[in-house]
Amino acid sequence: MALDNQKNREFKVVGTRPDRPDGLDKVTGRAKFGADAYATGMLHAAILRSPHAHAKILSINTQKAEALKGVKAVVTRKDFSTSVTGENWNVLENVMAGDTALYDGHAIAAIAATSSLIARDAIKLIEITYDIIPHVTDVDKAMENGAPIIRANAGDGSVPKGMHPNVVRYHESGHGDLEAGFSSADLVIEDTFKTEATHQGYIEPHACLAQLGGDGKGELWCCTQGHFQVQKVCAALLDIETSALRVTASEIGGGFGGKTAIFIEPVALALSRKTNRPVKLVMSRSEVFRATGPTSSTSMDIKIGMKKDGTITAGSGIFRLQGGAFPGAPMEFTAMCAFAPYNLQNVQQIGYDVLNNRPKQAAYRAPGSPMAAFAVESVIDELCNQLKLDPIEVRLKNASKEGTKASFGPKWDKIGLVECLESAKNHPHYSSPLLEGQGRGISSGFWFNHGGETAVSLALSEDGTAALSVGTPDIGGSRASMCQFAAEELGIPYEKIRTTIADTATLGYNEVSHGSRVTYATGLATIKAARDAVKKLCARAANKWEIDEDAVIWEDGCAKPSGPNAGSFEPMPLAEITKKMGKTGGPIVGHFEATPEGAGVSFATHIVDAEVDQETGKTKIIKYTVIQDAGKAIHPSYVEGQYQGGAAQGIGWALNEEYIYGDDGRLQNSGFLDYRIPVASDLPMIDTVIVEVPNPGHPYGVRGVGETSICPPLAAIANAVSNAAGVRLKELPMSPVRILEALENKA
Amino acid sequence: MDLYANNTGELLIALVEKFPSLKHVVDAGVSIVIDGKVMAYSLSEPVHSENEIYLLQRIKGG
Repeated sequence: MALDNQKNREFKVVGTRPDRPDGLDKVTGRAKFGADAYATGMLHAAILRSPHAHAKILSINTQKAEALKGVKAVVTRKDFSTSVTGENWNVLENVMAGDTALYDGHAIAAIAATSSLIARDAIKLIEITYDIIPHVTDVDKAMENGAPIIRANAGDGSVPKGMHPNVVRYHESGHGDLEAGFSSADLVIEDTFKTEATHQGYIEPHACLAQLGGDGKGELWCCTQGHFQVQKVCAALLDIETSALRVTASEIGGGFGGKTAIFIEPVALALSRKTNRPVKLVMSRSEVFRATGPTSSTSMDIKIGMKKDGTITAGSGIFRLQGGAFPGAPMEFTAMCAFAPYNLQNVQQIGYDVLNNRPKQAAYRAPGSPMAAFAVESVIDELCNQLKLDPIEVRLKNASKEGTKASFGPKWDKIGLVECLESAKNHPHYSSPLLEGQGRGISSGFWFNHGGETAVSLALSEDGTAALSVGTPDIGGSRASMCQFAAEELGIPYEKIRTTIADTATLGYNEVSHGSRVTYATGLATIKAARDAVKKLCARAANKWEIDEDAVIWEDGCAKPSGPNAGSFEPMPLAEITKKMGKTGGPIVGHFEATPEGAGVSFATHIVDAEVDQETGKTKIIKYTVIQDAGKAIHPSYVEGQYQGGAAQGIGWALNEEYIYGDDGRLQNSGFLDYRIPVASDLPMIDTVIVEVPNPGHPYGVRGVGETSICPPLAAIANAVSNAAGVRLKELPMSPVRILEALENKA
Repeated sequence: MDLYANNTGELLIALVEKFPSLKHVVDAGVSIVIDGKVMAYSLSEPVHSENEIYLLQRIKGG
C-alpha cells in the first residue's frame, strides 16, 4: 500500500508520545509472562541434555526414572512425528536428538513429574550410553580437511565441489571487474576479522504451559515472537491438525530474534499428550545459553581499494559463518549487507554456511549484518586513517542513493543513508574535542526490514471505544503504535483504544514478529482495518441521513456531509453511531488481511568515543550517538528506545560478550556471571537522532527500526577503540585481554 | 536469459524448469526484487520484459 498522497497532512496522534499501554501491568506484576501460567493438575517438566559436544546415542534406559515416585511420563525422539521434512526436520532434530547428540546441551529426553524438583531428580536417573566422537566448534577448523563431519549430505547442492561436507550452503553476488578496480586504487587494504557467538540475553527464559488431549485438541501458552508459527510447527511435529491447537502468546520479556525459534513447546505438548495433564516447562538460564539460539560466529576476509580522493574502486568479502549443527547461518545476509552502504562499480561477496558442534543459531536483531559491518567498516576506517581522509566525507562520497545499484544487485528505491551521514557530520558530537587516550569511531549500517503475512481486526464497542486484535507479539512497544494508528484514522482519543495480542483461533495467520515488520505491516493493516471501519460508519450515517454513501466523509471522529450539496446535517460522532449499531445493521468491525510488500530498508550511522586504559586494557565508552532513518516515527520515545537498545547490545557484543568453548567442546560460561553483558554503569547516555525519509511502501512512510540499530555498533566501537589504542583490533569481543595483547604486539 | 512468465509465480516455475538445481533454493523461500521493490512472498505480482528482476534468499530477521 503506497504512501498516502496527503503531503500537508498534520498528524494529531502519530508522532506524539502518549503513555505506554502496558506500563502499569509491567511495573505492578500484573503482566502475565511465559512462566506465570498455571493450570489445575499441571505437571512440571525437565529435559535431559547431552554433556558431550558430539556423541552417538547408543541406548536410552528410562526405567529407573519412571520408577521414581511422582514421575508421570518420559518422552524421547520416538514420541514425535516421523514424517517431517525440510526445515521442520531440522527443528525436530534440535528439539529432541535422534541418534546423535550434536552439541553440549542437546535435548535427549524429557520427563513430566508432579513437581519440578522431582522432574530434575528424575532426569539424572535416565541412563544414556554414548559413543563420544570428535567434535569441532570453530568455523574455520570445521572447513579444513580432516575436520569431523557433523552431518553427511546436509548440503543443499549450491556448495562448490571439493569443499568439506560441513559447508552446507554457498552465496555469491556482485558485479563489475574486481581486478581492474583494485588496480586503479592508490591504496588497497586486505585483512581478516573474527567475531564470536553471542546471545540475545533476553531477561525472560523460555517457558510454556501445554495441554494436549488424546483427541488431538490442545492449548498452549508460551512466550514467543510468533505464536502462529509455533502452532504450525508444533502441529507438524506432533502429527496433529493445525487448527486443533490454539496457541496464546504471553507477555514477552525480550526476544530480539531469539524467540523466533522453537525449542521446548513440542516437548511440553508431547508430555501432556502422554499424561493427559497440563505440563509446564521453564528453561533455566544455563539451558538458555547452552540450548537456545545464539548468533553465528564468523571469520571474514575483506579487501577494499581506495583512491587518494576517497573514491572506493573495489570491494570484496568472503564470509564464513557457523550456525551450529544445522544449516541456516545467515551468511547471505552478511554478504549482502556488507557493502550495502556503498555505491561500488566493482564488488563481490561470497558466503559459506558451516556446520559446527554448537546449538542451532537464531537471529539476533539483524542476523548477519552487524558482523559484516564490523569487518568492512574497520577497513574503510583504516583506509581513511592512512590516506588522512575524513571518515564521514568518504562515506558520503561513496554513499548508496536512490537509483544506484546495490552491492547485491537491485537498484535502490528511496533511502535515507545520505541524510543520516549529513546529520552525523553536523552533529555536535562529531566536532567535539577528544582527550588524550580517547578515540572516535564512525560506522554505517544497513538492514532490509520485512513485511509478511498479517491479519488484524478492529471491533467498535457501543460506548464508542475500540478493541484492536493483532497477531504479532509486542516485542518493542508496538501496541502503543497500533493504538496511535487506529486513533489517527478513527479520530478518537488514543486512550479509547485497547490493543490485544489475539490467539491463533481469533485471527488469520500472522507471521512472526521479526524483521522489524510489526510497525510497518501490522501498522499498515491497522490503518486499512480502521479505514474499513470508517467506511462502515459512514454507510450507517448515510443510511440515517438518506443520502449516498459517497456523500459522507469522516473527519475528527465524526461522519459529516461531504459538502453543501450532500445536505445539512450535524456531524455524527463515532459513539453516536456505535450506540445503535445493533439496530442499524449489526456490529461494526474493520479488518484487513494481506502480505504487505514494500517494507522500506533502513540505514544508520553511529558515532562513538571510547577511552582505553593502556595498563588494564579496559575500555570505557565516553559518548555515543545513534542516527537512524525511521521513515516516520510513530511514537518517538519507542523509536529512541530501539536505537539505544541496539547500541547497548552492540556495546556488550563488541567489548565483552562471547561464547567460550573448552577443548572438550562444552560451553564454559553458561551464566550471566561469566557471560558479561553491559549493566547500566557500563553505558553512557546514548544520544539519538531520528531521521525521517518516508518509505514509499507505507501509508505514513514507516520503516522498521528495531534491527538496524545493532548493525553499526560493532564497527563504530572497534574503530573508536582502535583509534584510542593506536592499534587495529580485528577480533571481537575487544576484551581487556585482547586489547593488552594487541598493545603488546604493537610495542 | 529468456523466460516466459506473466507473474512472479510463473517466473519461479519457469526458472526451476530451466535450472532444476534451483528447486531446493526456491522451495526454501526466495524474495523477488522487481525494479528495486522487494517482494517477499507474492506469487501473483505481474512481471514484464522491461523489469529488472533479482532473486534473493527469503528476507527474515530477528
